[in-house]
Parts: sequence; structure tokens; C-alpha cells
Amino acid sequence: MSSRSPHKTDHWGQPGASGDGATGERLPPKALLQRWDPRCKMLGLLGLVLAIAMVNDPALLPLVLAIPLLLALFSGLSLSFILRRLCYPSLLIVLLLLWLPFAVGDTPWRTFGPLTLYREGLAAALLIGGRFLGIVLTAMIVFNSTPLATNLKAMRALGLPWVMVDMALLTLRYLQVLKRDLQQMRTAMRSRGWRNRLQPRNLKTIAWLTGSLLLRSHERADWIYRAMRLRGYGQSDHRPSEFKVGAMDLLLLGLTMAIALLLALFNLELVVI
Amino acid sequence: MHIADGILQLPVVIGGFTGAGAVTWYSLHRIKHQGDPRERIPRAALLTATFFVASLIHLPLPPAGVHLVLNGLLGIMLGWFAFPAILIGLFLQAVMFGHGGLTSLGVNSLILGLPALMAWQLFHWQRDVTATPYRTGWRGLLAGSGALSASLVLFMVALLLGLPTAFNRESTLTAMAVITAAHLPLVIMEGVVTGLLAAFLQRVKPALLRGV
Repeated sequence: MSSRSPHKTDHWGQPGASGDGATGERLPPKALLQRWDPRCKMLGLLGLVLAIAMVNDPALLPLVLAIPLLLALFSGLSLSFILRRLCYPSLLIVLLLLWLPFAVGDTPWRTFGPLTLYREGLAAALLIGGRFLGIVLTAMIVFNSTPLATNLKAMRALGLPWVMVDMALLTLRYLQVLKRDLQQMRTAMRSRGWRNRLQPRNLKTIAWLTGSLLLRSHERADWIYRAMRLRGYGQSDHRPSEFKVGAMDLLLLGLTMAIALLLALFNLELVVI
Repeated sequence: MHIADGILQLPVVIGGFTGAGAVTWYSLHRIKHQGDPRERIPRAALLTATFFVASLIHLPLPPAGVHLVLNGLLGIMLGWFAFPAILIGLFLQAVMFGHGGLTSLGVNSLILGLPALMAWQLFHWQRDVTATPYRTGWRGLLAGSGALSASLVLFMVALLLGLPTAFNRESTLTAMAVITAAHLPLVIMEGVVTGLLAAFLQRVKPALLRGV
């Protein structure tokens, strides 16, 4: 893993213009994950996250956490970037991890005043926390090694309906524009003395702010469609596919699937560690 | 109201993806049935992005604050495009911000998407398109609150199905009651904001309430 990296992530974590990762991480040109065919990468990711979701034995957690570690070594992403992305864990996960050890189980392990820590609850919390880290880190590393738009095109090549892909690409494109619109509108409101407090009047203001944003978007959409038609949107595309699979891509896919299969077999106790 | 990665058991994950795939397929089938979708895609995408942005507006509700979900309004305005739009929005949230999850994407899209379709039907059921903004606002309030309430129920069902069976029934029910109570103010606020928005749109651009 590289220890230095000029982070170009904006508020939306969008890719930069020079082939950076999905969240703007500039990658070393030779990173293996960056060179891997995006279609094979998506299939490999699917296999890995499903295998991790299957894990029901806390003893397998070191193996689960070794998967993103291994991927990180070949991704070229810096450790600080990966850790920064983990700063916002789901509130539900935090509550579950705090609640489970004290609320679930029959075998007391430790007592802290009125609170009893149960073995079963602790094991369940470890399992959920471990699976969460394994899946989130694996997905984050894989998605950040290719621009998000390329990943979406790879999904299209794998059979995702074109309506979904076109919608996703356009949504991605206009998120930044709309975020800027919203910031401008909120600045204008604040400069007129508006403060975000819990009052019925404020709910009306927020509703109208959202309504204005929707109106602007609706009007903009018609212009966008006409511009897209002028540039050939809807015409059949005869360009050759931008993806090419080589022997190395297939080898990496086979390796990834073998790891996923091994994890599934360990979990089903068909293979003993 | 997002279920994160790692919580759900594999059968629920697979069930979620199967259900979401089936609803998406049916929605796309209905969209194509209404004619060439190309003209409607930019509009649907832009509205999806708008909902995505609007859901980031922070409401100062003690102790911490809440964000609107707006799945009811999304259903009202997008119709059959609502489910694919929610699926895309949740995918982008998972990939860009790490909110929600990839393995729980199917379940999360069912939790938010099915009530959005329900809100669409509820809002447009025997609706007079020339009704006053006031009456339209009440319809919006019902659709918005109804959609979020239905999402809350589905969220609980998914959690109950997804958590390991060894969980203590009593403490699980207590936790569910706490989650429900914590979400009730949001259900009310969501309804009020959706109602006010529906009234606003009926006043300034009623065509927006007729779907994409």
C-alpha cells in the first residue's frame, strides 16, 4: 500500500478527471486492481461479499478480514484513505454492537453492576461487526480502484438493463450540479436571516426549498434530453466494446472465486481449518 | 432506515435481491409498456439526483437531528420509475458514502421502494387533478406519512428475519419498540413536508405531480 497520496476527493467523493478511483483517490499506474478488467472485478466482488455474508462462525473472522487486507495491498490505495472512509459506520451497526452483548444470550461472562455481558451476545456482535468490516472494506477497495462510471458500464456489459445504467450515469453526473444549487439556495436563505430551527414555519421553508429544486431540475431535464438527442443519444452504438479480457483477468477472477468458495466451504464445515 | 452490511443472514440477502430484481423487472416492463423511455430517463435521473440531494437536508430534531427520506414523494412524482430510482440512489449511497450496504441493497430497496409505489397509488387514487393545493396537500401528507410508516414496518420485518434466531425475544421486541418510537417524529415530519411540497407543486406546476 502506498503511504502517500494527493487526495482529490470532493464533497461527493466523485472521481477526478484523470482516471482516479471512484472517490478521487489517485492511484499508482501499476496497481494490479486498477488494471483488472472491471467486469471480472464486479463478478469477483459479488462472489467475495456473498461468501462473507455467509459466515456464521466467529473463528472465520480473521480470514474474512484478511480478504480486504490482501486486496488493499494490490489496490495502491493509502491506509489513511481507507481508514478515513470507515469514519462513518452505520448508526444501526453501532447500536447493535453495543446492545447485543448485554441483551442476548444465556451464559453470563462478566458483570458490570446491573449489566451482565453474555458470551452468545458477544459472539453475535463480533460476527456482525466482522462481516460488516469485511464487506464494507472489500467493496470500498474494489470500487475505488476504478472510476464509478466505468464500473457502471461494466455492469451494463454484464447484463444490467440499459435503462438502469443510463439513469445511474445521469444521476451521478447531476448530483454535483444539484448539490451546488442547494448550497447556493441555502446561502441565499441564510443571508436573509433564515436559521435551521425546529419550527413549523421552517418545515414550510424546507418544503418550498425542495420544491424549487425539483422545479429547476424538471426544467433542466427537458434541455438535457434535447442536447443528448442532438449528440446521438438513442442511436445504435457501433463502437467496439471498451473492455477486453485477458488471461491475467481470468486468472485473477478464478483466484477470487476460489477464495470465496474456500470461505463458503469453511463456513459449511466441509473443510476443516 | 438503512440496514448495513453484515447484519442480515444470507437467505434474507438472497431473498432481498430476488425480490428487488423481480420488482425492478416489473417496473421496467411497465415503463417500456408506456412507450420509449429515452425521453423520460433524463427527467427521472434528475429527479432521482434531486431526491438524493434533498434527503441530505438536516432537520434539527433533538437529540441529534434527522434527514428526510422522501420515498413517498419520490413515488408520487416518478410512478414506475420510483423503484429503479431508489435502487440506484441506494447503490450510489453505498458506493460513494458507505451508507447502507451492498449485500443489503436488495432488502433496503424493498424497504423504501415498495412503500414508494404504494404512495403513488394512494396519492393518485380517484384524484381530481384540478383539486385545490390544500386538498392536494392532505393527500401528500397521507402518502408521505403512509410510505414512511410502511417502510418502518418492512424495516422491522427485515431485521426480525435477518437477525440470528438465538436472539432473546423480549429484548428484541423492546429494541423494536424503541426504534419505532424514535422514528415516529420523523414519520410526522415526513408527512408534513410531503404535504407542503405536494401543495406547492400543485400551485406552481401541477404537471410535475402527474408522474414522469
